[in-house]
Amino acid sequence: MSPLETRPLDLFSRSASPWFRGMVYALLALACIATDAHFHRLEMLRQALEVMTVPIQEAAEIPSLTKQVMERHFDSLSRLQEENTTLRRQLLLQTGQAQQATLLLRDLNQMRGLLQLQSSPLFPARVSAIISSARNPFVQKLLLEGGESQQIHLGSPVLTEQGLLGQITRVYPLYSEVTLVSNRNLTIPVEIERTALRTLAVGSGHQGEMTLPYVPSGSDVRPGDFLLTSGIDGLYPRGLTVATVTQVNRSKSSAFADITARLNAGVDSAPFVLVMTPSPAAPLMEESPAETGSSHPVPTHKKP
Amino acid sequence: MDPIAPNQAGPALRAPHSLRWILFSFTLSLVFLFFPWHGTGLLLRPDVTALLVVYWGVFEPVLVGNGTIFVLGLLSDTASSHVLGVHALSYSLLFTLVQYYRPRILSFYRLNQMLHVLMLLMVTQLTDGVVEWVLGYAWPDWIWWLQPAIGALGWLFLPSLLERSPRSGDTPKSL
Repeated sequence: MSPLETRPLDLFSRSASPWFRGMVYALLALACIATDAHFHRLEMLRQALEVMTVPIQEAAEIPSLTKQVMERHFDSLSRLQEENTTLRRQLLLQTGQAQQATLLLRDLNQMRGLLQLQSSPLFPARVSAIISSARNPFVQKLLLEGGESQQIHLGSPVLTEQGLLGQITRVYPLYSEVTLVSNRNLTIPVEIERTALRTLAVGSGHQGEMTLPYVPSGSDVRPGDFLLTSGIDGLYPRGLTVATVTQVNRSKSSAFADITARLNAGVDSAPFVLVMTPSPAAPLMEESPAETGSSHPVPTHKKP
Repeated sequence: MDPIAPNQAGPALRAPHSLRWILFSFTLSLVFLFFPWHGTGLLLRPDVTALLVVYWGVFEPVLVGNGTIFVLGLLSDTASSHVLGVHALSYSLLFTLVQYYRPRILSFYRLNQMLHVLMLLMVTQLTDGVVEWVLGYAWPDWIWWLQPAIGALGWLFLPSLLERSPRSGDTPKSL
């Protein structure tokens, strides 16, 4: 395995030392990290790399697809019938609730009309399948089926039946990336259901956990309190379940209580999620721009 | 040049592996990376790509260069849908260390080589961890640190597997 077999004998020219070459490439990598993490300027390169890895991704899906096909083949009839009955029962219950909700909504809109208040927009939604969780233990992210071509927009909230799961943070042509609520970079305006106290919830960076860093230590928060989205940013509709408070520590040295909450929506529980589309045209924006303030802006429309 | 190793004297005289095969093995390791990992599996998933970087860096240092390793790092960053360049950095560092320790690694038997591989993979893991920490991400669960150990165990059978892979001088027997 001497180098002579693959390289012509060259006595005097010397290539750079391994240390030097390693250093050059390490610097290049550091430049990449800085440009991507700080300035977000490498999206073109990322898209190109994504396209290059499409065959690899498809090859990697073969085992799970095979497993699905096998499962479908061997799934017992009785189990499916049982599931069908349960689902029918649930559907019936929910139909009743939905009808009541329609009535209530109509009444609410009439009242709002009388009081000349803004009506809160209803968000259209679509169901999307989870492809996989991001293959990196440092970030809490998910990959979803459906991308630009399926009209999935940047910034859309993503839910499961148990509550808020996260937000779409990157849209590729065929799939999109969800940053989970537990991700450190995500902050959500929430309110505590019992006391209607509004605050911000921040992802803790650990799976399924978030913290409330800005609650004064004197305020009334208990373990077991539900956190709902407050809808103040206009991005998440008001009233989505987010988390349950698990721990409240008050120390005399700090003005803020140390509160941890457990997320309601788990990644492993559901094969499908609901992607809400923030309404592109908030109808009352044009009529009374001064009033709307922070209540309706949608991130995709923030940029002029 | 290289010290003549007791167990490497034979293979050292053979023709180099075909470059196409080397790239194919890297592609396979990326497929492994792209499997839908999650939970504990994700934390314990051995970094096969890094192991291959060590193997080809030791046994084919002329065919595999820094550029290949860098692109490989970028591709594996794409797999983790995270900041570009994290793995490119750690693999570049790993490859440089492999080149430095190559004669030493070649002079040992496989079990002792495994300890070197463990050290190298640990450095890679640590680089990843430190970069993520600087970028502001929380450390994962402690079992994440078992990854290099599991990867190093792969060194027990990977060399005997790859030793038999196609070499550039080989001609198919059917011809």
